[in-house]
Amino acid sequence: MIKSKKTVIVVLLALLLGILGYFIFVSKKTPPVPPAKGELKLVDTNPSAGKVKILHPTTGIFFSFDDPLVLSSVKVVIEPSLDIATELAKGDSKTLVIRPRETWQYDVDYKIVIKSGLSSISGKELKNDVFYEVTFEAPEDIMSF
Amino acid sequence: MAKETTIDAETARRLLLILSLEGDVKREEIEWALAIIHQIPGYGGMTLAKAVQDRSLKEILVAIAAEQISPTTPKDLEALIEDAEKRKATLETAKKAGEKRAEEFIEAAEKAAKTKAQVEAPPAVPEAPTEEPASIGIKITPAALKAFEESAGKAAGVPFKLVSFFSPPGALAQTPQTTAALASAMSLSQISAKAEGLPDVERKHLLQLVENFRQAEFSFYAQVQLQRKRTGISVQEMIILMGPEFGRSQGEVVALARGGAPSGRGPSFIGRIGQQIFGGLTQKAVTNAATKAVASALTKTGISVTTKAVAGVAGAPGGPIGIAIGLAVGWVVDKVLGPLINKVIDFISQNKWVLAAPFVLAGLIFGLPWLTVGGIALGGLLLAGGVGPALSMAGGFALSVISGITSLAVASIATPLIVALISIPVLVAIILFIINSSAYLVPPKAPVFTGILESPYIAVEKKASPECLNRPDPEGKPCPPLPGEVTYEIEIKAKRGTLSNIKIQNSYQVFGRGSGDITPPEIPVPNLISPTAPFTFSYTLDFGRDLNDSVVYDTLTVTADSPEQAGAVASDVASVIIGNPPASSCPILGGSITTGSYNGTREVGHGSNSYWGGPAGNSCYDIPAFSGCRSPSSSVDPDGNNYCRGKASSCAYYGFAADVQRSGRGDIVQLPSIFGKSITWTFQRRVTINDTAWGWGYVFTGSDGGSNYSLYLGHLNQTTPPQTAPSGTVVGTLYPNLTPPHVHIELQINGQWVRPDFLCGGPGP
Repeated sequence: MIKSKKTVIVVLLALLLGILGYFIFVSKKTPPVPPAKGELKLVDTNPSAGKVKILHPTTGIFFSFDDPLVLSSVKVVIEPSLDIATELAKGDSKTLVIRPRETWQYDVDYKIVIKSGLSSISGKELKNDVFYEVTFEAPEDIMSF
Repeated sequence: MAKETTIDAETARRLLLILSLEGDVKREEIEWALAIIHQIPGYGGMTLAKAVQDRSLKEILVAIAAEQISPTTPKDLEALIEDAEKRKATLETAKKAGEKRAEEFIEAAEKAAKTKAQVEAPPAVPEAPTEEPASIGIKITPAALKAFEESAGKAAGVPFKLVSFFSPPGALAQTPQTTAALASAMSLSQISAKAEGLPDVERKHLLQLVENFRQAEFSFYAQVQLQRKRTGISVQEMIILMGPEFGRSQGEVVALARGGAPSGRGPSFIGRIGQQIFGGLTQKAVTNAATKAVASALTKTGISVTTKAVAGVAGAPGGPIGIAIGLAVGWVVDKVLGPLINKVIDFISQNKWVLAAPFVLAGLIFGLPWLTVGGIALGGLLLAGGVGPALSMAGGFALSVISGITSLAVASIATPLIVALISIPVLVAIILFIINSSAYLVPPKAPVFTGILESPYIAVEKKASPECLNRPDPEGKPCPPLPGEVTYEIEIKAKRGTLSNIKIQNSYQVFGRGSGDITPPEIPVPNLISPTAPFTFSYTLDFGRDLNDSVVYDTLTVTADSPEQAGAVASDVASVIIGNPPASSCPILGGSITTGSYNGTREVGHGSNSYWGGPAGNSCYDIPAFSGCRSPSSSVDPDGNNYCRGKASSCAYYGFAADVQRSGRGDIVQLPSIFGKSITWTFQRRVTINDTAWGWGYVFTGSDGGSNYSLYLGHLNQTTPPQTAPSGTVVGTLYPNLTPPHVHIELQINGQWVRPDFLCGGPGP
């Protein structure tokens, strides 16, 4: 019986040593796992790309994402070069508005790139550049009451 | 109407000839005949058709022509007609005599056609043709056409357009069924067979007509040649072609009358290329344009069709438009390229090495040493004069090159190369010309501010000097203190033709804190205003202190009859700013909102269910215009019951627009201030609304230094606003044909739509 007690104690000590050794030597070597980062996704643009008729030459282009944006992370490239402003849509922080500080030129093919790295307030990030091409056309006739 | 005249034998014969509708009857001749016939009592309103069918008249004329009756006057004729029954036997004798001498009548009538009609002040009658017409201009008699009618419905044959070109005008006008039968149901062999059974003259004419058709069917170029042989389509033919039966436009008829080469020369090689290639391309361009136009029209009427179907309707290959354009383009190419080619020939004759240059260049560019060496060798050959003489030959450039250059292979490459070099810029120019023809018709020019309500017939301008009183003027203009004088200058111009029945209305409106009334003086109204002598008038008014802090608008409206339109209207407004009137943000001073921006909670305003008038009338177009937004998002339509809900492109700015109507004090629309700040607005563009049925709309942009604005004002009259103008400037007047007349306002601030209601006392932005 005593002999059995000694065996149990030895086994328990070995187990404790093993656990202790695990925490001291093994667990410390494993780096902490960071929280998973989500991808920020573009869900809509208005106007849609291509040839678009606009009445107001100041009309902003609305890029709607799936998460509220951090405006300071916006990087936009536009060709041909134009003085533009980037803002959040009124009452909608998920939507980025790109507008000319003066006016768009009609019948000019604008190429806009929203650079990757655009982030949302929850940490999502735009993984790839967003490419958008638009040519604004002037309407001749409209329908309104 | 000519006065009474004597109808002698020669006149009678000629009248008979005209009334028989044989020969190339010109409109002038018909008028001449009717002028004589109308002198006869009871024949005053007689039409040509009745005159042709009136047997008693013909019997009398036959009798006169046969000299059975002495030359007589219309009074005698009246007596003859009254006694016709009594004198039946005499007339019968005369008729028989006339029949026996029918051939003599015709011969005499042909001679008579060359003599001057014995009517006072007769119309100029061209001489009758003395020789058989060439291959074009064949006239066939109604009898011959009747013969064709008998064979109608047998076989498809002659294109309708060719029949219309070559058939006699009388036949076209009187026997459209026959013409249609010719066009749709007769083969050329059948026509030939029928012609064999006809009298000699008619047979000859018809066989010639058949030959014309055969040639015309052979190729388009044959049509051009046939047209060229023609001395010209008569006025009567043109009228018929432009009439309801054929529906051709004036331009088409002119193009057809001119043919491919109005200069009289045959179309050159290049000209033929132009007709074939350019004609086809331009037709395609026009077809596309026509397709767009038809599709647009059908879409607006709610008809859904496929593009292919529309294209088929708009521009069937080989249609009259294509032919007319082909002819016109052929003419242009012939006229433009002809001299150019001659110059190129001259240049190449003197600088023969030029021909070799493209080959050397091409060899270098494409790395083909054999081509480079060959080109240099060719240059040497050319410089040595081996092929030079051929290049100096007169005539078509391509033919010269082909016949002159000793190497056929080189010629076959050089010709299209040079032709292409010359042709491509011309081709581009022609296509651009056709696409933008309307722009070329009215040369572009800087917009001129010619009045608040523009008219193509009247130009009205009214100026006030000074334009301000009792205030510091930002532009440094003198603004005298109150009380002060303001001089108004008026100028009314006639744009197209003299104006008559002129009415002038001059009214004043005061907005702001001022309370004074203004009574303008009576403006003398001229009886006429000619384009060369505008009407000008000026007067001076005294403005008292009671008008301080106001804006005074003076509207001058002119109504007049122009040669083209009765009751044409034009107006202009002059404004004087006095003191510091309250800055108005509402485009209509004192205006009130009738329909505001969309309110999804109360389901009212633009784009609401009541706005659409119910699901059945739901069309759900973009509000604001061209915003790409046709339905409200859930944030602005919380209960989700909007009729347009679920349509594509929902947004939070759905229905951001305001309609503002006048408050009974005029129909002036002005540029607003924003947030109490005066804005310098820049006019951007004018649009029509529902094809002008609901007036015109105007887009302006402006800035206050911090924010940018874009403003749309819809349902105004047609005008040309000033290019830049500050808030408070009158830009137009309300379009009157809406109930009630109102201005539709849309506004962007920094590129984003806002509710414009706040401009006129409503919520927002």
